[in-house]
Amino acid sequence: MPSLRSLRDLLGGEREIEKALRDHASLALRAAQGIQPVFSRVAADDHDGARVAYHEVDRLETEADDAHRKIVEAVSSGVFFSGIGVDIMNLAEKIDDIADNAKDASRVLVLRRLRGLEVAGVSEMIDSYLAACVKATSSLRLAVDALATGKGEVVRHVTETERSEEAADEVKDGLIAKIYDLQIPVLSIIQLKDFVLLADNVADHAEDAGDQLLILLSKGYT
Amino acid sequence: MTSTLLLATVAFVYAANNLGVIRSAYAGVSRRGVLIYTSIALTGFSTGFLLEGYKVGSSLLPSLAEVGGSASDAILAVTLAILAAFTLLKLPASISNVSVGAVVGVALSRGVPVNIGGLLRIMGIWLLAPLVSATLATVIYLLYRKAVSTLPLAPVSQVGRLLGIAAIFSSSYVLAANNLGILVAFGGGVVDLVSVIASALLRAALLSELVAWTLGWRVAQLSPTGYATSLLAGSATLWACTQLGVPTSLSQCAVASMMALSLGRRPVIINSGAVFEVLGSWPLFLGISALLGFGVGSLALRF
Repeated sequence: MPSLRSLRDLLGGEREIEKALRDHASLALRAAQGIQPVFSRVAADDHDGARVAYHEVDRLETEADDAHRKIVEAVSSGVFFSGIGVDIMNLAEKIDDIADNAKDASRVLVLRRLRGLEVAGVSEMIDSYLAACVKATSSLRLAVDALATGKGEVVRHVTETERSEEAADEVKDGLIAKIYDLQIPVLSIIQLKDFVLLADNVADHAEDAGDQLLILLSKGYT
Repeated sequence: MTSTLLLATVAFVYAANNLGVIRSAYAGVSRRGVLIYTSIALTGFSTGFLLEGYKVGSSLLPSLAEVGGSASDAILAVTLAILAAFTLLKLPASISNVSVGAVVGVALSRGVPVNIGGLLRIMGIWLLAPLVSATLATVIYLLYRKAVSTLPLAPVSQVGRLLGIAAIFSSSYVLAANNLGILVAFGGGVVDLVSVIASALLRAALLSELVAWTLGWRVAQLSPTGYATSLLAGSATLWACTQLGVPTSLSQCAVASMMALSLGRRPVIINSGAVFEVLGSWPLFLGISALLGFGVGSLALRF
């Protein structure tokens, strides 16, 4: 019924888009959280288990893609969030990048068999690094959730996202230096370094999404 | 029959030139959004003409000058010629400025005395209306900012959209009540009125090549809420002018409001050329239409 849809547009489709953004951010967070199980299986020499864990991340990334597409369709076909529709789409794009990079990082770990002994020297550091990346994404999800509360809460969680991203950055430099010092095959060093840089993109895109949220706030209230 | 046709043509050209200003309030929305907002605009336009379209015409004829008969056709012809010329040049032209000038010119050509007091009153209101509109826009915008500051983003967006809908409806309403109402002075019959509103609605519904539709976006860099507030303040001012029976330009009021709101933003981005094009144009339109009215009126007397 086109007339009913038009009426719904006028009365408000914003809440539906807000919910879709929350679901999208939640999927991105779950994908980011999925990296650690892949790594821990690799560290335990459980390559089959790592593949299973990777497929879970892959599934979450596909779901995030669908959520992203629905948000773009809703924003571009409706009359809601007038003036900030493009910024909503940019936010969804950044959230989607989180899931994409979580998948890419996980895939690097399963494309070539790494031995548990090869990663043993950096295992603990990678765990804390991944925790910082997940913390950045988790704060971002809280910031997206806070869109339904008020701008003060959004800003607070965006600030936390930035702090977590900075923390991840600090760990990253030391981690890469330590990976170069490992006495393991060169290909394994390259593989681990690629993994760390792709996992870093997860935190970077969480921070970018946070910046996009601030743009939304500055435009949306004027 | 000639007058009815002339009235319908003026209404058609007027819609092509002036109604685009409403589109500034919903530029950038999806095609479906355009259809929804255009329906609201057309509803406001019809309602304004039917409910208050009779209020402005009498301040032109006979209040400003007691001319009638063939003089009415001359005034309409001058109004049509100027509106059509500016529409072809893709420049906004105010029917209120042009019609007043045309009445003065045609009256002078026939030796009919012009009510100077009435003319000065109209010009005084033309000077005052943009200032009132700018002040009103500032007040509305400040109240809006205060009201939404503690709300989540979704309700803010909904309030902004309601403000936009109110702006579209009210600006359409007053454009018909005030500007299109001018034409009521030249034909009060049912056929005349129906042809005027039907032609204007037809042209407005076509949506294409509306002259002033990017006007707001060319004047200043504002948020959609800023544009909606400007239109709302301009509409309120124009409505007050309608109650006073004075034909006034919505574009001039809305542009003054946009300027006022732009001054409150950092960085201040104002296209001074576009502002002058709208705010400083009324003496030009008044002069051109008075001269052309005098010429056409004199020629009409010879034949």
